[in-house]
Amino acid sequence: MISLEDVVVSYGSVVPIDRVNVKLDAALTVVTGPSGSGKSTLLRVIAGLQAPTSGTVLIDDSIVRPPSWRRAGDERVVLVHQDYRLIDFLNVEENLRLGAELRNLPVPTNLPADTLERVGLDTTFLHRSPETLSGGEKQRVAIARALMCEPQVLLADEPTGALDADNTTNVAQTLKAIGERSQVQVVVATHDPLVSRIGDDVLVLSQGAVVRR
Amino acid sequence: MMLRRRRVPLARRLITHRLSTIVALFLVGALLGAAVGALTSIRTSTEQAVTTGVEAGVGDRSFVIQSGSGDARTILSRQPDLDYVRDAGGTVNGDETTSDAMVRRIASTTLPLGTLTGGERPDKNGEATVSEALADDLGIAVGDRVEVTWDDATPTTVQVVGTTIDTADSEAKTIVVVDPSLSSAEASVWLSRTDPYKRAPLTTQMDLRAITYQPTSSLVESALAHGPNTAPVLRWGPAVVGAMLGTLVLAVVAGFVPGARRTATTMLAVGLSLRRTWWTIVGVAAAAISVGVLFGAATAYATLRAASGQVSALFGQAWLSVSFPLSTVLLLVGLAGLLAALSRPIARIGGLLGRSSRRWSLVSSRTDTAAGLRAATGLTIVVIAVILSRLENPPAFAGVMGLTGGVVFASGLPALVVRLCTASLGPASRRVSARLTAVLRVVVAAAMSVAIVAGAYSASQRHNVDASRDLTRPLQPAGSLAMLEVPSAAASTVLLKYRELGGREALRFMLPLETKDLLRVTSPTLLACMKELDTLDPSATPDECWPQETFAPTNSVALDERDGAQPRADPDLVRSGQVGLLYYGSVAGQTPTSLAVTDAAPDEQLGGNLPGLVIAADSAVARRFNLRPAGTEVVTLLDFERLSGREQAQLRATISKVAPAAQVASADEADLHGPDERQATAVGIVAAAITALIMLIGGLAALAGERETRRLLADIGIAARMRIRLLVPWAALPLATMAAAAAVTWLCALALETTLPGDRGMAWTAPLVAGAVAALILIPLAIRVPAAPEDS
Repeated sequence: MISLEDVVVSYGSVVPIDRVNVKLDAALTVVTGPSGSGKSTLLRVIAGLQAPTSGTVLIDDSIVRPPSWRRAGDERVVLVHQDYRLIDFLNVEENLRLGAELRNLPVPTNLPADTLERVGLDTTFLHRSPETLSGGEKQRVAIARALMCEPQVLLADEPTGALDADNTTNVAQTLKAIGERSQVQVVVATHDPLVSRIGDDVLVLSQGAVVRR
Repeated sequence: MMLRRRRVPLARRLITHRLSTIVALFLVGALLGAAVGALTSIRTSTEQAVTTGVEAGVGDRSFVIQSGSGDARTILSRQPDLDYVRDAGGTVNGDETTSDAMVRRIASTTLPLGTLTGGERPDKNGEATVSEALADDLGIAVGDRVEVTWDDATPTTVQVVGTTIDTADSEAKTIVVVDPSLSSAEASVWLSRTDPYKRAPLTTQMDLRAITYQPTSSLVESALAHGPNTAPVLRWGPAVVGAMLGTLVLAVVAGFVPGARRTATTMLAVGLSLRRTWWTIVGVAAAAISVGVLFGAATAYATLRAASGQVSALFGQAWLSVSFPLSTVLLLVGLAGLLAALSRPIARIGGLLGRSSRRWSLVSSRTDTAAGLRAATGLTIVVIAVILSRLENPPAFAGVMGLTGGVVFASGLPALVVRLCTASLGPASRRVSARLTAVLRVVVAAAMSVAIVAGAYSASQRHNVDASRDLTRPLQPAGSLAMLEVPSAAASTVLLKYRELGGREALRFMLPLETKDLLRVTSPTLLACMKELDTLDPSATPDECWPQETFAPTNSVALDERDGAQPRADPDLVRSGQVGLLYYGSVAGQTPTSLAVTDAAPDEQLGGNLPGLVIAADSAVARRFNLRPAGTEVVTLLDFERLSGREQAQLRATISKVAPAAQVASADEADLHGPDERQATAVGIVAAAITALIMLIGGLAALAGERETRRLLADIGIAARMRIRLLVPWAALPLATMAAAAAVTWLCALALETTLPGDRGMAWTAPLVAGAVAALILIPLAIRVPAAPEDS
């Protein structure tokens, strides 16, 4: 369960997150709202990539430490970005293995292929370079990479922002399936109504505050 | 009436907006200006004090002349237009106390000795000026009468009409007495406004060295070469402190770059051109630093002026004025301006370096399979070179071969280290780690090559110098100051000052008159060779006939004034208790007119700059070869280097006053191996700077090139602990490589140096240490999480 207690993020007079107090415990939570409403900032705060100005973020009652000069990100959380952020000099299989290897997780030979299958891609993708993939394929590889890390929380920031309608549906279904069939808690930030519909819990943000749930 | 709104200049608005930044730049500029300005001011002021001290000590005359020979002194006394001084140790009695002092008698009241600080110059018989140190010691003032005694003569009462100061030696106790009865023949120093060598009667005497002379400019030059201004803190201080604080200024400027970037973004957003934005920000920063430098230097100057007495006393001097460090301020302000002017090209080059390093890393991370082979081959070459260099007749190429092997080793080792460091990682992590260190490997290989080549050269050069030192004897006893051709009266005055400063041991020999008879000492072996070859020309003998261990295989003979003193000689000239003598019946002759041997005991202190043989003035040898004292001496102050730098400078000030025409050499100057040793040290230090620069610039370029990858690792959920695992080679690579380089440098030095035992010193390690320190600076920068695109 993710708890945000009095979380404020402000840059002078600009306040992207304004006193957010919520507990997220649904398998798949969708955070929606117009552009600039604070969705991405909220996810970055939960991921430990950005420090709140005040307030606390907890995952299962344990604080998410804010970033420092040498640290960014909480080990329990993986964030899937809108622009995929795949490592271009590694092939798909190496991209999938990287996070798991560094977390000292066992990586059986067939695990990358199985994980790709979970996001709807076959084994022919394993040795391809990220540069040869379409936007939807890259996004699903990014999700597969996140799954390989066995995170407690998977955050997806506008995962379908750069995708066409078919790919949007595919990615949305993939995220829903992860939420339903695994122990991973999924939080998706989106302004796409199609994606909003898959959520078990939907938070609507406006000007940094939760206006509807 | 329409009111016009006053337009505030852009720079002023920027200063108001970023006041704390501007103040910080001003303060670091002030710190730089104050530190470098103060050190430069002190150095220039000490130089000025030395110059004034020497010039005032010879009455502002252009040439100083000395002679110990009676005949030559008679010739000098007949010269018109020569001023003269008789220096002697003596005592001065005040009302209550007595003090030892240097008594300088002058016959002419137009000779202004010393820098006048009160009263007036003496202008008639029985008047005198005293130095402030002497006046303080005796508690006397202008108008008082004192009793002066010199040369064991009857005390004379004089009236003090003025006070003087020796700017080069504030503690000098001197009294200048006008004595019209002093004749020129009694003088110890003659002073001339014109070149004495052009006076025909003196030319021949000068050619025979019966009269010696020096231009005052040479005395000043020599005094400056040994003055307090040459103390390491003043010689290197401005440059070292300037470099350190300059680095601090650059670091502070670098720290403000992100803020400046944000300000620039705002200025561009409101419609200002990039050019105007850039120059406004850079101009304001450079101006803040420059004004700070000027303020700091002015503050330092004002402080030094206020405390000039106390500061100059630290150097044993008395400054008449403090120099403003104008050239230093102009240099620092010029550098700030130059850096500002070059800021755009530097920024462009930085961007290019980052992009190039990224492109390079794409290539090099895939081309290191042969690295292990290269390292092994290089090491093998080095070992073979060492073995070859240890052969009885080592090939000349062994040294170059060793260095080549070292460079080949350096080219392969970094990749090998990275492989070892990442052996426990999975294949994907290994590839990322290899990519992150791709450019660093090239940088470390380059730095390591410089460290090995320069370090091995420095170590071997130092070793060879040390080995050579063991084979040859020094030119004069360690730590000593040797003075040749010192008039006997001046020698006594110098020794008085030397003892007053705490010096104890000294050697003093009389030089024989060599206007007609000339005697030289050598090894009996050379004489045997000459007899065998039936020649009187020593140069006709083969090299093996000459003594090899001494720097002076034929040397001068000096006289010991003690009756019955036993003859003693340079140990390297003594064979079976005897030395050889070469007698030249005429100084103009090129070859000896007769040869002889005489008994002599070896004396470690003789030889080199000192005479090769010392015999009693009343000995049979002295009588046989007509050796008579010339009135000049060789004086060796054995404890000279035990005196503090300040005391050494004070003693040199006295020597330049009373024995200005003497040849003076310290053991340090007389060390013929010194230049090679200094070169070995300089190579180590310069290579250290180059190694550090390669590591820092290359390392920063490597970090800039992989900035996105490092940020990506944080963004995709790889936490700090895990990310540092990928960056372990960043720490291990340079440190492990430099450690290995130390061993290889050692081996390469073995291949370059002689097989004789010798010390390699420490300078050779400087490039390795500098490389490791630079690597330590880079480590936190590598661990630091770069800002995300969202953060900027």
